[in-house]
Amino acid sequence: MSKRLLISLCALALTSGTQALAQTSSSAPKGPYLTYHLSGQATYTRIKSAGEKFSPSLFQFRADIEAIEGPLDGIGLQGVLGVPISDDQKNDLTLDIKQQSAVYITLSNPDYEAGDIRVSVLLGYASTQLETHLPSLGGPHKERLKGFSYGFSIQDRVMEGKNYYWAFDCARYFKDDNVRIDGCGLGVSYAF
Amino acid sequence: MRSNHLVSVLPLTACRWGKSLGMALFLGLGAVTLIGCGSEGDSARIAQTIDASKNGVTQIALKENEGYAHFKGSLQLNLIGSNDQQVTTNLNRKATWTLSDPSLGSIKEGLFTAAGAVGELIVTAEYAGLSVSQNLIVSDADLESISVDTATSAVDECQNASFTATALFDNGLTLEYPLTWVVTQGQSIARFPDEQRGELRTTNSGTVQVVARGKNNSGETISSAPFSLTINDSLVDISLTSDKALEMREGDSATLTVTGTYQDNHTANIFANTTLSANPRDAVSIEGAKIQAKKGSYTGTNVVVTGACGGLSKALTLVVLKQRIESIEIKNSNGGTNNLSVTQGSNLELKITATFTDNSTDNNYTHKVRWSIDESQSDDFDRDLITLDQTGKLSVSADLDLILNQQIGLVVRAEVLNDDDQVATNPDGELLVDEITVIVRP
Repeated sequence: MSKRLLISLCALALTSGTQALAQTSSSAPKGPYLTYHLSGQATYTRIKSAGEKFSPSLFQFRADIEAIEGPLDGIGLQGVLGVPISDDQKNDLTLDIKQQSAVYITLSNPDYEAGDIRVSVLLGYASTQLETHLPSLGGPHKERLKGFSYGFSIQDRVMEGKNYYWAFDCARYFKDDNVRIDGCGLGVSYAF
Repeated sequence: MRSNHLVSVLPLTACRWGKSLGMALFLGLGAVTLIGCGSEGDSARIAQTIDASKNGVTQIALKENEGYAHFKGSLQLNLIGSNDQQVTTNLNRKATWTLSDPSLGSIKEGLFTAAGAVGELIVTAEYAGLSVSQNLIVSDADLESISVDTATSAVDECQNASFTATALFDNGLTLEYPLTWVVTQGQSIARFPDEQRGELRTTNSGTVQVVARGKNNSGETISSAPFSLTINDSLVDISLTSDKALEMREGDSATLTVTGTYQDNHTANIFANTTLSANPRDAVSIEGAKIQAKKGSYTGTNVVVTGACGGLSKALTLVVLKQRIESIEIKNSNGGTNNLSVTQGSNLELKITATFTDNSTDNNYTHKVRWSIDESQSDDFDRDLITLDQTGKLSVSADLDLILNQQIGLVVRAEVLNDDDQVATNPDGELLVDEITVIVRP
């Protein structure tokens, strides 16, 4: 169900983007219409549940594509893949994020120019696989929590004339009555 | 430069996006779709496992029960968790409860509520990966009799008494069943505020008889045998107090407390059992323990609030005042404030409009007002021929002999006085004073 939803969203966004870019291409002169970013971030998470807080950490790979001309100017699509760095333990319970993936529509300032701080809003869907292991109750148990996710991203050029950026992202990956998963990451992004 | 740009990011972005309605619709639809997807995954299992790590629970079990529920009733199940030291904890609220046949009822926090159908189902409680189940029969057994149970046969007046009842069915079981509670004798001294609950509220001493009633499957009422309860005449004094000053302004509210003192010198809050009344009734409103001043006067309206229980009563006298005045303004009788004039041989009636702190107004405010003509700001005039009384009436004698086009400018001043006959102030400390210029013409 959720995989189908993710695929549908990606397809919808890409189709819409392609169509809009095609329209732009037919009416506008030459120029680069898309920009691509790849980034890696160390992400500190905060998982709140049953009155406790756990903070396993992740390394997130982010890749995004963003239109810089036409009606889709400032709008992009971002994919996130997170892999575990460290778990967290409390009361003999080990909690780890085994894997995380997310897809976002990114909304950035269309008037962004080189040298500006780039601020983006992220709206999307995230899937986080948690593993809990409480030895007194047996072996580890994995549970995948999926749902609406949102956040923001701030990027600033590391050095004039270079395509490297500092990137700071924060997002809420999941929230319901039982569990809340938030995270903030700091890393480096490269723009193509 | 950069910070300026940051500030302008969102408005600019919105502006640019605003150019494309289709794009905005697409994004809106996308966001709504995402939010509408909701959340997936057994997050309760995560929360339960974390909870288990804190309370050390390693085993769970359902507390022994009849395994029967009536199709009109309910059954409270209890999931008990225990740690290695066999210390137990109730997990009803934390566990995940499921029914094998939801058409027979619903379950929340262990309370099974029958849906009116008969059958058999399996109730399962899960906690942190542990699971336990039991069979539950939803029965249409017929109500045969009801017996009232209570721990005591006497209670102090102006106190409450709790009752429980056992419903016996024709299959020999006692099941939880919806019952109503009625006072059959002594309704004037005790009552059940909620007939579905066996909480009796007493208001005086004496003897009351209580029954529990339920309907059998044929709709006939089955009553318990009357249970006789003695209400002791043990109240020796009551006190009625307010948590705020006894002088209240319109709109102010306070909380009342009624305390009873008993023969053995113990005291209890008996507010819920006390009958409260106020005289005059329209001066205040009483809702529960909250009293609110509604209608006062400038001099203060005395309101006697009386609390009565157990044949005793106590009165509390409150004073309700009008709201404080924020400002005053002098006007003529038509409400005008500009170009006021009076001709020789006639009068001008001035009035004060008072504006209160809640922005309500009194267009003829007269309480403790001092009127005067400010001679230092006025033209010379004959005090015998031009007079201003303390009702605001400016009189010009016909004997005043003004030549053509001659005018006398008067500055009329009004002051609101306090109880010490000093000029009163508003809540901000400003003097309640107003002045207006009146021209005397031939």
